[in-house]
Amino acid sequence: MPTVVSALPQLIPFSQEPMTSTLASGSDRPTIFVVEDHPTTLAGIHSILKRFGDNIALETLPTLQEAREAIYRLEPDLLVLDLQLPESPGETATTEVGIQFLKDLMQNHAELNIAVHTSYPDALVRIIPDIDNHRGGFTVTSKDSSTDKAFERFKAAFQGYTHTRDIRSLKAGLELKPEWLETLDLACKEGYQDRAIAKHLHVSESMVRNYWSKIYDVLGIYPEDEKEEGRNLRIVTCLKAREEGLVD
Amino acid sequence: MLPIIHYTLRELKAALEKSWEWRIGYFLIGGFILARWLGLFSHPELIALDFLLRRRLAEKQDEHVVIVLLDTNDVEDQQEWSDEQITQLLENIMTADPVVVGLNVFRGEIIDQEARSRLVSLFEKYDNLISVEKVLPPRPIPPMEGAPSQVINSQFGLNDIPADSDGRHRRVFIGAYLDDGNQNPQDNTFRFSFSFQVATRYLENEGFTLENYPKDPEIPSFLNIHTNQYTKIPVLKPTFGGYIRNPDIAPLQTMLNFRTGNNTFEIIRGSDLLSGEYNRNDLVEKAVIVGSNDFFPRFIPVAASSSLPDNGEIPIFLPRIGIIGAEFEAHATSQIINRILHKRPLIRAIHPVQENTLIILSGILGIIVSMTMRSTFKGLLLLIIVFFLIVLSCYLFLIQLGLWLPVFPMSAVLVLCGITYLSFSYQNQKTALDEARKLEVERRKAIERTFNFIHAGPLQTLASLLRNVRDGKLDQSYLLSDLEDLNREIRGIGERLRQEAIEDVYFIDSRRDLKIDLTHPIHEVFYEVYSICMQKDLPGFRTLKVRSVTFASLDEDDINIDVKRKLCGFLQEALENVGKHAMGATRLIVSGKISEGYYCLRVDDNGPGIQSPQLGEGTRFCKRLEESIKGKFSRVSKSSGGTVCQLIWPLQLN
Repeated sequence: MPTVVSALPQLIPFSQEPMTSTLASGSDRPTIFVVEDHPTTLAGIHSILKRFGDNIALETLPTLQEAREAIYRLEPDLLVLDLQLPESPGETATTEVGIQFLKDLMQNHAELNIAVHTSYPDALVRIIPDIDNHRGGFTVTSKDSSTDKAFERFKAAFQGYTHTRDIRSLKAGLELKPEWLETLDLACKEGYQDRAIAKHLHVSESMVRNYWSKIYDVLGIYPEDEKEEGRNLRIVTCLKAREEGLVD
Repeated sequence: MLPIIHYTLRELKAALEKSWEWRIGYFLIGGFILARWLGLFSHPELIALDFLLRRRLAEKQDEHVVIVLLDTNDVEDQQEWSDEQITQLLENIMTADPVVVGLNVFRGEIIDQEARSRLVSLFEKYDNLISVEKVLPPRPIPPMEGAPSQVINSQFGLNDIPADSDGRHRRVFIGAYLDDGNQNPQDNTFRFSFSFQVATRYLENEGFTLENYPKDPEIPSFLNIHTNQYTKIPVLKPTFGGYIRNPDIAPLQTMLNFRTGNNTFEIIRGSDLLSGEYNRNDLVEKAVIVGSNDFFPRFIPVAASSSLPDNGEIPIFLPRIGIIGAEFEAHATSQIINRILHKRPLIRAIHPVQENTLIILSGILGIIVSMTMRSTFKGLLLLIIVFFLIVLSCYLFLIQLGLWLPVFPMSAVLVLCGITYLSFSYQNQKTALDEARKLEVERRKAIERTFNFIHAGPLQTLASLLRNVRDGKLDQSYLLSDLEDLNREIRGIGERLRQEAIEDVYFIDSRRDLKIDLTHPIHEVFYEVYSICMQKDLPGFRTLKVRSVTFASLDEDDINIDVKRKLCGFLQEALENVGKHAMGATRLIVSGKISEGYYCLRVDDNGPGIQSPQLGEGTRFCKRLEESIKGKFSRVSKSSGGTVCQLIWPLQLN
């Protein structure tokens, strides 16, 4: 997908969508941290990340402690995280520690873009509410997904989008937070723009953008695809919401 | 010697106490006694008796009883012997001066008047000549026609043979009351049996008279006129041995203790007697039983074996399964004579209470035997040995004293109790072994888990601490926070392990193979329960459009694992109720909120509301939960349609 690679520099100014931390690093080059110790998986992740082009600063962190320290020093533009991290080489680790780490991370770095790359996506189910509250990008990729798919998810997280449909139960309707429903109501029925919605809901405009990102995820809308096909994202979203019965 | 007895008693007591843990053995024994009392074991007990009797050593030929065989093959037209031939034969026998002669042949209608009157006069002449009639249904056969009633009353005996339920014969009549068609059975004529009459005549000659036993007039006995001693003849009672509950034990029967062997009685052919080719000494001073081989039944099924020559002269178109009537009568006569003269035992039984005691003891023996041995194999071996000892002792009692012990129930209850207890203790040992193995696995798992916890937590912190120190990063605050972390982590491990050790930390959805770790924060656990529920394919979920979920977190100190488990059960129940009953619901709001020291867990749908007022098992569970957390449960229909199910409980449970 050469178009994606060439499109990368444009990602940075494209910050009307929830893109927050790119400039925080103080460098032009986007930073990506990979928390993973397994050499084979690591090599795989590296090969996926190569698609972002040469213009990225990549750092590999094999232990959680190191990751914690590194993130404390500098918030990266994207954190690629394995849940089942062996705490020390040769040890089998539980996903438990990884989940705990992730929870702490989302609490302390609310705007961090996180791409979870794991063999056990189901372990994330119990922290879905925390993920829903997270303001940065959050995507989940199973380790057995294709390189293309993994790259798309990494990229989506990098862009601040959310993709958690793999871990959600989608059988019985859609799960939405009340704020998201109100956002949909205000936008689709009243025709308000983000600023007006923010005023109505007494939240910041960036929070409203975060709500939209979550709504896209829940409705299974892929902003990049829609844009590429030349559609208006808001209208597509309202149509879909109506179809699903979320808006009268 | 005393300490040994003391020790044995103690061991015995311990075994009995242990056996009381599994009372099935005692129930088995009780069941056996009951079954026997109901008569269910009659058949096997009789077969066991036959088996033991047949296993005796062969006895020598009887020296008191002789059989004269009237073989139809010896008559010209192979028909019956005629009165004339029989009269001739009897006259020949009488010349040899026997003690008593029994004619076990029915002489029915008169064919030749002259021959019959000769035969009758022979009876009148010799009062030691005895003959037969059949008195009992279904086929009575009247005594010889033409004989005066005086002769019939004193010289005719009944030769009916009582049959057991399996068609075999093990009993003989001593005598019976003749049914005269009269309503009152008390005044019926009493008639001794043929064999008993022959034996009585013979014994009178030897100096023994038949008397009622003085202490119990119902029992016939023989009095030795020289020593004035009585010898009783054992009489069957309805409770006699294996005959318990047998309806046709009429008065005055005794068991047939037949002689064993193939050469039981001297047999003289009638044709030889007629032609004079016989040894007179064979008949002198004997009890002679004259019998034919031509009347039905040819062979009487008895466990005894026949001494008839099996040389093909007798037409055998049936496999020989017993003995002919004359042999049967000879056995019956012989057992009485030999009892009186040689103390050869007659078969008798012990009192039912004693029998039951023996059965109970064998059952307990079986239990003890199977419990004393540690190894199942040894126990089984010992059980087999004891089984054979019991059978052997029953056998010895039978052949030495004629005591018919309940060998079948005794050995059966022994084996059954023994096997039951052996298998119980085998199972027990296996379970114990499995348990030990499982414990060992658990132990290993616990160790492994502990290692994992330590490696994953404090060791990492320690490593980073070490690195920092080595690198010279000795910043006090850094160091302190790391040490604090370490402290917390190590404590956390202990806490976690203890929780796992003392209680089950999982909420298990019984319908799916799924566990939820209850040590996780409650709002996460709730979310997991909710998430699992929503994946179920229930009708109420199919129409859902929007779900909204929020669970407030709680101070984990306020809530223990057990309560968490129950709350999960409540949430699951409430959600599944939506799935089962809220048809057409489009909106589901699940929330857990804290307000004013109360936690409110609430499931709200916009379905049709509560349809049936029935109190389900789930609702009952909720009522119980309500009590245990001092909370308030409610499930109501909303006015706008839909159901709200909620549970409110105070946060300070203590």
